[in-house]
Amino acid sequence: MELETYFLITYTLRYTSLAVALIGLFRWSRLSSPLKIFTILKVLSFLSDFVAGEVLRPQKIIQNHASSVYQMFELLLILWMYYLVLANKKLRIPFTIGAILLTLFGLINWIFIQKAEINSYTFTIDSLILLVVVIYYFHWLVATEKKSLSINNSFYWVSTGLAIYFSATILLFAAIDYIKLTMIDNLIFFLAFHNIMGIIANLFFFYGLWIAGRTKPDAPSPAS
Amino acid sequence: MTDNPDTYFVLLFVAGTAVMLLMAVAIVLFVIFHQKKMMKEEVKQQRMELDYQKKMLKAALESQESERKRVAKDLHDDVGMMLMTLRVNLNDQTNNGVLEELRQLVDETHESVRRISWDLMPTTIDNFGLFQSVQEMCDRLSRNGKVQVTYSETGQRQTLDKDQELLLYRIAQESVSNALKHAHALKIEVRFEWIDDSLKLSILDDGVGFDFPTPHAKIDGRHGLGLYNLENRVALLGASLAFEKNDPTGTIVSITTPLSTHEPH
Repeated sequence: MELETYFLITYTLRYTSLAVALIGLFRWSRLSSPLKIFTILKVLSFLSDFVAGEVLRPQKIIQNHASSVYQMFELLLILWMYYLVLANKKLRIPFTIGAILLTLFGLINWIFIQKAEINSYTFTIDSLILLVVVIYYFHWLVATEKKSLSINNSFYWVSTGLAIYFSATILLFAAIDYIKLTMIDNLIFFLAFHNIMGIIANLFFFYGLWIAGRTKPDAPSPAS
Repeated sequence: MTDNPDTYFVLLFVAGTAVMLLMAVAIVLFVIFHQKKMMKEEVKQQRMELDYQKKMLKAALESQESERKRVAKDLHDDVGMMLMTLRVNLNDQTNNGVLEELRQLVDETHESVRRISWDLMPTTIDNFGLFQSVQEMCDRLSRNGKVQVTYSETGQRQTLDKDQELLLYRIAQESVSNALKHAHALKIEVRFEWIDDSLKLSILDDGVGFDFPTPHAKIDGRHGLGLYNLENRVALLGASLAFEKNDPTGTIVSITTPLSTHEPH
């Protein structure tokens, strides 16, 4: 793969993330609390990618720090978002404990273990946990009676994007150290694959936030 | 990626990722298919409940009609016959003032019994059909001179089944009765219009009007039993019911029955 192609894919990922963040901000007043959290997540995603590519890289600072920090925010925001959507107080303790433990693990891994390397342990464990949460959300959709089809629900499309992204990249995160060790020349293929899955997920996110502007907030927070 | 372990790894990676992705897509699609299936079943269930309610309603109305028929027959055949016999016997007695009063009382009672019997189940509906019966009802109501009830029919008449005729008759009867009792109308017009594949029955009056229900509001107890019965009969006919203000005063009640698509209850 040409380096230009890889950069094209990377920029596409970055600016599709920006598009998702912008549609979320544009429709902000019509979004439910979980979708507002998701919009914040996409703003952070864009900023993290932008800082890594446009600030850290030109100054020869290792870019992995940006994604390691972003990963911790991603975990916390997604868990919070699903806690609000599922509106089940019984989930408060497992979600809180999970968020604290995984964030601590992410911090320890970033500061003491993998440091400036790609924090693959954190990415793998977080992806696995978040994938389980997304699947639990789909189970909840099936188990609870809905008055309208979920395809009209913005959050269904956001979850579809997350399910596709995490299921496609979890093995990549688990194997990234092995790939770096044995196939460093081909690493770019795997990273490009990761970015393509991110772009596909962004298309689902964009559609979800787009229809959120047409319908009433569909996943209200229990607090609201 | 030329040596064996790397190729093996790449194949394993591609296969594993493909399986994961397929599972995710399958879960996402399953949610939609499952929800669609559940919603279809819910609609089917609601339709069955509606059919059951219609059947119950039809059974209740049929039972009411049958009871009316029985009471009308008893009044006409037994009480009416007895009064007639009494009247004939009175004619044979010596003519004096008391007997004359009794004769008058018997005549009035006989007339009342005939009227009640006719109201309960007009014999003309079985013998001559809906239109003759409604016309006769209008003539009978106009006969006392207090109200003017007119009848009209336009368009090419088509065939109605017995159930439809009886339901339309009861609707006309109920609407005219409402106009007389509640709207205190002095002029009422009962109009049948055959329009393409539908029959429109309109009852126009010049009464004081009433707060009729909004187009989509369900008629309930607050609007009286008469209107509730009216709506039930309209539903059994598969017809539509509309209320409008008449100009300058009064109300127009319109019932439009589709003829070709009518499903007999």
